[in-house]
Formats: sequence, C-alpha cells, structure tokens
Amino acid sequence: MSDLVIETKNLTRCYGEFVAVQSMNMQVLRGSIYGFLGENGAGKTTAIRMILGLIHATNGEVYLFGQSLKKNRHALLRHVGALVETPSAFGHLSGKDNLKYICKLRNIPYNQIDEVLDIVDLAYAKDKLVRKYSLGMRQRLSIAMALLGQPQLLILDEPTNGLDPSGIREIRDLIKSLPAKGYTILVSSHLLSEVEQIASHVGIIHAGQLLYQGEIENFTKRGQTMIHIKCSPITKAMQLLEENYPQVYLENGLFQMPGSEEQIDEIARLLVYNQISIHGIYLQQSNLESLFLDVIPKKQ
Amino acid sequence: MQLLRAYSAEWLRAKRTPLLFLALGVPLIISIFSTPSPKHVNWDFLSNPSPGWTFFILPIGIVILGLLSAQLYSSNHMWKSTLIQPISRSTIYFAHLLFLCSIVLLGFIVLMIGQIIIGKILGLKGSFSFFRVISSFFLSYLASLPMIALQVWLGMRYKGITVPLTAGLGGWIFSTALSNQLPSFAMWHYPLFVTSQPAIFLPISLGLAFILILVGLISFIRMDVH
Repeated sequence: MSDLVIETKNLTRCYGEFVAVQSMNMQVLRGSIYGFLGENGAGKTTAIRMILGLIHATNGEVYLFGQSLKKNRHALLRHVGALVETPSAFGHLSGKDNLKYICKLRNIPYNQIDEVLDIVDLAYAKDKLVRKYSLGMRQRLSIAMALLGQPQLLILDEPTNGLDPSGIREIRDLIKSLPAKGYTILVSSHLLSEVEQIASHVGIIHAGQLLYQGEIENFTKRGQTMIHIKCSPITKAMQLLEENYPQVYLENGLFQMPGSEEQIDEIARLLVYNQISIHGIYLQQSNLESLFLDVIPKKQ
Repeated sequence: MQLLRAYSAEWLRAKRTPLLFLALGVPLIISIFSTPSPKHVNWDFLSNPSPGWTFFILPIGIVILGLLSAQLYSSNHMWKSTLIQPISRSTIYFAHLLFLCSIVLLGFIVLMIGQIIIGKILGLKGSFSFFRVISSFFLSYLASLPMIALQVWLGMRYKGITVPLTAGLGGWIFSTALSNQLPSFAMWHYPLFVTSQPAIFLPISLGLAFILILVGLISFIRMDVH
C-alpha cells in the first residue's frame, strides 16, 4: 500500500485566464497531519475540491492511496471523509437524521452514529434540529459526518472558520486526537497559529502555487533566530548597534538582529559599557508566521 | 442497490418539509372543492384528471415541488456533502428524479381516488370503468414527465430559484399562449391534451422527457460544485 495518501501531479485549475491552482504536486504521508496553509483566495479550497472530485481539474491528476481518483472514484471515496469550507447539514432535520442520511449514502450501519457523536461530543444534541445548532455545533456535526465509515483520510477545509476561541480549541483538540485512531488528516487554514499547533507537515500555497511542503520541524529550522533588545536612549543605541551589527533594525521600539544565544552576553556588555540602559534582551525563535511571510512573495 | 439507498435518503431528506403535504394535500383539496354538479357531469368527465389540475395546479405544483426539493440541497450547502460520498453522480441524479416523480405520482393517485369517491357518492351517470380512469390518469402523469425532468435539471444545476422558477412559470405562460395554434409546442399542457390525443402527445412527452433527462444528467455530471 502506498505511503502517500494524497498525491497530486501537476494539478491545475483555470477559470478563463485566471489560474486558481497551478501545477500543484502535493504529497500527504500516511498518519500525518498536513497543514495546508495559504491566505484567503490562495487556492486552498479549489485544490481541496479537486482532490475530492467536486470540481474538475483543467490539467493534472489526483491520486488517493496510490490510485487514480478519476478511475477509482467510488472505491477511493469510501476511505475519505471531508468537511469542505462551510459546515453543511439539512437544517430541518435533527443531527441524528443528518448522520442517517450520510449512512444511507455510504451504506454503513446506523450504529456508527452514536460513536461519531461521542467523538465530536454532540450526543446530547442529536435529536435537536440542526437549524437550532450554534455554528460550533454545526461544525462538529460536519466533522461527525466526515468521520462516518471510519475513513482513513480526513480532509478538513478551514474547520475553525467562524468559531469562537473555545470552539477553536475544541476542534483543535479533536483533530490532534485523531491520528492516534489511525486517521491521516489534511487540514487547510489561513490561521498559522492553528496549523503550527496541530500539524506534523505543512504545505504553503500562494496565488495557486505550492511554494513549500515538508515536515513542519524542518520548515521552522529554516528560520533565523533573532535577538530582540529593548533599551534606551534609542538614538545612541541605534548608532552603536549599527556600527557593530550592520543587520540590526528597529521595529516598534525594539531592536532586532539575527544572532545566537552566545552573542547575548557580548551585546549586553557593549550596551552597558556605553551607558545604555537595557530593559529587556531575549532570543526569539522564528515561528511559522514569520517563515510563512518569508516564503510568500511580498505584495506590491 | 446504490439507487435504492440514494432514493431512500431522498425520502429521509423530505422529512419535516412541506413536500409531502403539498403533494398529497393539494390534490385532496382539489378533489373535494372541485366537486361537480351531478346534473352537469357524468363519469366521462370524472374519468379524467380535473382540468383545473392538469391546466394549472400540476404545472405550477411541479415547479414548486422541484424548487423546494432542490433548494434543500442548495440552501444547506448539502450538494458538496452529498457528492463527496462514494456514490456516483448519476445515481444521485436519478434518485432525485425518481423522488420527484414519486411525489407527483402520489398526487395523481390521491386525486384519482378522490375523484372516484366523489363520483360514487354523487352517483354519476354513465358507465364507470376503473381501467379507463387508471389509464387516463396514468397517461396524464406520463405527459407530466418532461416538466418534472426540466425542473430536476434546472433545480440541480442552478443554486438560486430564479432560473428554474422563470423557466417553469415562463414555460407555462408560453404554453398557454401556444395551446390553441401549436399544441405540440405547449409542453406544460401535455397532461391536459394527452387524454384526448394519446397517439400524438404520449410519444412527444416521453421523447421530450428522455431528452431532458439526458441533458440534465450530462449537465449534473459535468457540474462543478463550488
């Protein structure tokens, strides 16, 4: 069996002149949580819709579990559960009836309904009409729908969209718990902090192009460690630091420069010797956000 | 098997909606409130679906039922959740078509039973033939298939109600205007014409229904779900 749960080869989607996704070669490994990152409109949802066969690719192909989606759509989708963008459920039906609807289409027994409701912690509201659900509850119901049939691959497109902080935390904890149950997860988001907390792998898409993909650990290692210094008087400090460290710059009253732990002592001595008061000095590891901003081309 | 499952999912989806009430209640009301005077009509008249039904209620009813049914998918963003299941698009399409055909058929059955009961209660003159009544209602039902196919196609293809509603109502007005001069082009009135001229209108209806089903199917299979 292939180690790649999702593989796209030159996947492209054009809308007239506009290229929404361009020659995307995505690779999602079995057992991973793949964070699919990109700004709004970067092409994440279009790519996901092509992976699920909801929209047709202009060019390229999608492989799931090593097999072509085009040729084996039914057999492959049996192993896939998905939540695409907005939560979807029939508002006039109860949560349980919505799950029954999916059970019928997937040909799976109703006894799985209680299991998935327990996983998403929605058993207490199963008989309530969905139109009376909060957004967070709808989101969890959509995830429950995706979990029916115990799929090996879960595709969650912006699963925390529109949720309040506690809702976001609930969904995050839920996603983090799933790989232990054998799921591979592709989760798309424009919230970098979210992906940073849950993903093992990351793919960055910008203007339809996949700019980076790989282990999140390797990605964050690419970044530089920065030394942050807060001191006064600023003018004198700026002059002194610029003479000794040409890469230094001032942002929001904070001097920043690439450096290592060993240099902190040296910098502190220099400042103190020149009668500059230090209010704070610390090392900042690059986070996903700064790396993401480094990877994507700057806006004109 | 897949089709049966999808068809049964369609019925589940119709729970707590006005679909069944409209499909069963309206013909019941029509049969009760359009009770004819026994002096003016006999079994020849009540052996066919009431003209009010075939001329007005049925074409408009099919538009409403088609819209309500398709809008349940669109307004709840359920197309995407349905189409990512391991079931073919053609199966989903035929299940939806079959569902709409079924509820329209139920309407015809209710109307037919209603008319028979009323005819019996009134003790209408003329000879009553159960076979004749069934064949007449069934012919009229078959002639309504192109309208059903059109509404299924447009309802599944377009998110909003504008296109299916305009096509349904516009088609009915157009058919009404053409019904005297060019009845063969008056698709929305085939259920009315077919009982008197089955040899002409039945093949036209079935042929047109076949074409519309095919066009709708191809359109649905090729549709991008955004």
